[in-house]
Amino acid sequence: MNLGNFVQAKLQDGSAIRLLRSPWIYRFLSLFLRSQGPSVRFSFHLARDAYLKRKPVAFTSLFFPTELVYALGMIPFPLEVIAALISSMGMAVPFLKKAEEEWYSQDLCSFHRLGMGLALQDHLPQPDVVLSLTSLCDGSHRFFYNVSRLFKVPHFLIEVPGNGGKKDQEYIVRQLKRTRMELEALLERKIKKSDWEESLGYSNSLREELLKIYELQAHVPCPVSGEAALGNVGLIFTCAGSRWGPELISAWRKSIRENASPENYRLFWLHLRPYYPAPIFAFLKEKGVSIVGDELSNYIWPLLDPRNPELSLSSKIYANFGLGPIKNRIDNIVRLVRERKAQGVVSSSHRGCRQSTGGAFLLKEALKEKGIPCLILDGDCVDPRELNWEQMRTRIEGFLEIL
Amino acid sequence: MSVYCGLDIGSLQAKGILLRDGHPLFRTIFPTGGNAPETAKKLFQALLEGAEISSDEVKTIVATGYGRISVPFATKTVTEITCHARGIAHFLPQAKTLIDLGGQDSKAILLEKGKVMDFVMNDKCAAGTGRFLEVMAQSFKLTPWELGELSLQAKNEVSISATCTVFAESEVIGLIARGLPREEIARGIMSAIAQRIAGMVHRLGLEEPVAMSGGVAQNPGVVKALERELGVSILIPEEPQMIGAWGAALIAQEYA
Repeated sequence: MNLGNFVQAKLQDGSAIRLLRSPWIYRFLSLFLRSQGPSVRFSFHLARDAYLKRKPVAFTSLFFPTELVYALGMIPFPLEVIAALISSMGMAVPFLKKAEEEWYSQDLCSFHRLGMGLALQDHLPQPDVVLSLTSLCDGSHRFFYNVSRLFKVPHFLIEVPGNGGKKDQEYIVRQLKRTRMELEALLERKIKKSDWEESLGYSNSLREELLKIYELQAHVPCPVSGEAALGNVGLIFTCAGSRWGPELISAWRKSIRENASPENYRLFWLHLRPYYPAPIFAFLKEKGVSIVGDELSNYIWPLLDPRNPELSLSSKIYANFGLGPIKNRIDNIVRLVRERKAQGVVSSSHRGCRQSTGGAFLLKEALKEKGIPCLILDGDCVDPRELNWEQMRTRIEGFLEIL
Repeated sequence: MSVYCGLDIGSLQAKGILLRDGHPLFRTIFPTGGNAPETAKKLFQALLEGAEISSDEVKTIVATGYGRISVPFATKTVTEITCHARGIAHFLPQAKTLIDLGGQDSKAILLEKGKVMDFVMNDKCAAGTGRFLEVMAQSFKLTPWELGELSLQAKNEVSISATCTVFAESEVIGLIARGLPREEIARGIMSAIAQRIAGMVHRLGLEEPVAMSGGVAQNPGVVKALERELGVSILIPEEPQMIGAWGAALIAQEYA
């Protein structure tokens, strides 16, 4: 077996991840770090600090306000984002199989199945705590609870009720304060005013950078790659509150070429994308399709106020328009479709995601009433075994023919 | 006068038609087999020979069906969704809902003046397709058409609970072994297919008149069961399996 085949085999069976526990790997990789872009440098620091335990590690769910994590001097290790990353490297299947062998049903969300596979194979760093929200995802808090039991660490759950009215916000604020105090006691570290100023300040700068990207997405033709925007969803939620946030999004903006290629179709994307290697985005490009926005990377929150951090974070949680009645989601999608001059909507219906698939029909009907065609694209974001490309291609092509 | 060609390379059968001035010159059907590009080539050659023309006389070729990308000599590829809609609009322009049941997929298409307004396709499952029917017919040692005919003799039906083709086959073999009336089992199979398709149609919103295309539309048992399930009469064109190829040829003519 030559070196190339050896590396490929190690990547495919996932055992290469174990190397992340070796300090030598980071010493070696740091030699090449300066020439890399901020996303590679961020991933390097995240992996090094988590696997070598340079800082306390918090496993986090996608929408957990990481500003609190950074203010406490911890590093967030977002398991759903890591699952997407592993899938994008073509390494998902052995971990999914491992979780399925341990009775995690194929009906469950594959982000969580893959995360559990990584945990069961001992491929994750040892966390100090597990932090999750009930926001949107109904399976996540059970998954994170199981993870906390596996690693024998405390699990802090923030319950997100209702529509974000005054009482709901007060309830979140109380939970965030209690969580912050318990974490301070656990870590023996108090958050200072300057910690909040730094963390929320970075988050506000990230917000400013995102607004500039949204402005570009409305241009005709659209210069922003929809594939890149969907790929950056995980980064946006992981970096909020750290210096990496504004740096990463600013680098992304600077990499966007103003002179975009001509486009035949402008579509707005709902939910996430398939992360595993699949021909979908190359095919869309070939057909001249611009993805002019997606609902998750278009997550914009009110400016955060360091004088009232918990209330600010509560407002940020409720800025997620997937929360509350589906009318919120529909109204926001229609607004964004109009702003971005999109001709139609693709709703990526991720198997195992109850909140997404459950509302798909209502969403399609509501968009139809507004004269916005909607394609429900059934599939899976992480599990490549669920892809039937021929069927998916016919669906997309048929939809484009309607447009 | 120029000739236009429509090739529908389906999962089980490849259909082709040549049109001159809107009228068919020649049409034929081949089994697709394992080599779709080779089948497409042979199909086109057979069409030319049948019509006694040279390839230079064919102005535009539109390929459709799952194997549409395997036709390198096609001028344009169009999905079977649009081609079936265009084809049915030619024969049954009044149709507002089209059910296309092919070898490995099934579709419900909502039409307005022959244009596709919306569609639904089966996903990851062959239940409700020609392949499902073939597997079920094999359990009876009959052809799919004979199975359909048999189902029409039944007054009652034996319910088939499994939706998966493989599990349904075991269930049907078990029912035959128990000695239950064969025609009632056959009717149960037709109803299982119809329920699956009706679910897709209702998702779109049923609009009458309803038409059907694709090879399965030739099966009297499936058509009857669908009419029962949907509570409507279904219009069937003369050669339902050729509708995709017709649509492709008509699009080729318009594209030229």
